[in-house]
Amino acid sequence: MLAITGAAATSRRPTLATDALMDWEAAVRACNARVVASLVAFSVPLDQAEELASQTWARLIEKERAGELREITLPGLAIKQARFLAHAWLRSNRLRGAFPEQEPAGGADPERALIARRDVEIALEVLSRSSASARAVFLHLYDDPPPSHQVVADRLGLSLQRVRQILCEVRRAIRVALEGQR
Amino acid sequence: MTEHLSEVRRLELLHGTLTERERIEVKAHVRDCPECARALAEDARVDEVLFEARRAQRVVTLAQRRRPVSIGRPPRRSAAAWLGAAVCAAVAAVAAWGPGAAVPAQGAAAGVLDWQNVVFYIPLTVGLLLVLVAMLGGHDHSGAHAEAHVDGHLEPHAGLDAGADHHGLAAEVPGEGSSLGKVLSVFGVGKVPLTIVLMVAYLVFGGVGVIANIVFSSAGLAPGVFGPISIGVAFAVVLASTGAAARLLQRVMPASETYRVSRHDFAGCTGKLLLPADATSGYAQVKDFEGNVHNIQCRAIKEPLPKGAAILVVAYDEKTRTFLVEADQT
Repeated sequence: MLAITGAAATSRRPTLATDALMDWEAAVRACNARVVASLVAFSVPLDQAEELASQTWARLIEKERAGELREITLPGLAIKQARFLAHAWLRSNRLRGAFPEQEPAGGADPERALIARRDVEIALEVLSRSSASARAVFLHLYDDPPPSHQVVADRLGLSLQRVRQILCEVRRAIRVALEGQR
Repeated sequence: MTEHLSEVRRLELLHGTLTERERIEVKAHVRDCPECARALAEDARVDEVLFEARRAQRVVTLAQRRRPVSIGRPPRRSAAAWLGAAVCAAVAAVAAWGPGAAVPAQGAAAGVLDWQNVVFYIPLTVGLLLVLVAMLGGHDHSGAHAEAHVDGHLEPHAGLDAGADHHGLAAEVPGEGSSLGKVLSVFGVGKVPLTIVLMVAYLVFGGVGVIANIVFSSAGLAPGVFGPISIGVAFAVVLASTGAAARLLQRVMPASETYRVSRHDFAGCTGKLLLPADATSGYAQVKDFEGNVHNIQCRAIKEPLPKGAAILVVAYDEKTRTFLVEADQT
């Protein structure tokens, strides 16, 4: 059985009551890459994704200071806000024919929700068939925030090259499985 | 930078683990290279799935420890049952040999009926019956007392921080914290279900008692003398070993196994409409992945469906508390 490290506990910042003092600088440092990546996943160009992520944080900080946020759960809330902004941005750009038909998955869309759920199940299925070291690399690397490959290698007692090799193999297997399903 | 970015490099960019200088270089490349930009977006999409999967990582852990679940009720034989069967077979072999050796002068039949043997054969038989019941699947120890409800809300928006949810992975000790609870915990109750503890205790008591009888009788002691001694020895061994055996079984047994389904688990299940379904209402009977039948409130997400139509459950709508269904094309 693979042990789960407690790294997520410090980085995920589960649910913060708004009367607690929010360390936004630390939150941005920990979660910004995830927010940007979630936008890149929806074909938002990298530069634009970073710009939208900055706007996202600005809005969240503003809302928190105005006392409008009952609870802050990161990175989920930031990703949600960023996708909202990205959706508007994509829509306006699509009007000019700049981008392909690609919308952020909406939580209210049951079909998309079902696909997302199925994708996760496929990934878990592939992982359950993978080697113990592959699962360990996955568990350590896909934390919030993701540690560097070197940190994962040190934690697991593997070489950096081996960690990267495992990572690419696992991702390839998952990619193939996901494509096969589609 | 003329060559395309490697997957590792792209991932480092997505995960924010590059140095500032590296990040500037990689970003500049992505800006000028449509192929790498596309690959980056694809990597990010796979990453989205993997981060969600990571949230449900305990499911992976369970998958390693669980038997594969098939449609319909699978046969349930716990590791404890197999272990108990092995112990029981060993003890039975000793017991079969025991009476004759313990009472060589009176023959095997007379030895079996002697009180000093009977007091051990009764618990041995009860232990054997418990093993048989467990092996035949009449009662699943791991599932009856433990429950892990994994309900992943995987909608990319709202669900990002509401993923796998786990409850109650261990069997509860009655009155935990009380004196009774503490005493029971010494025997391993709470680590594994009570029936498993009883099974182990019965088998150990009976087996040790029979063996003790053999040893003491071959030492020349009279039955009236070694009988009580054997009982004392068997009790002592039960006290000393049952807790340890329970801890051992705890490692072998699945931490949890459940056949409970959440509403979201119905997605992908099929069934039949009991009443016609349209965009606002409907009533259907569906089978979950364990083969259990459920009656559900539903509504059609596409065209209205007539009574008796085969349906596929697409999702559960939390707001209206209805299942979204469409015609089953298969």
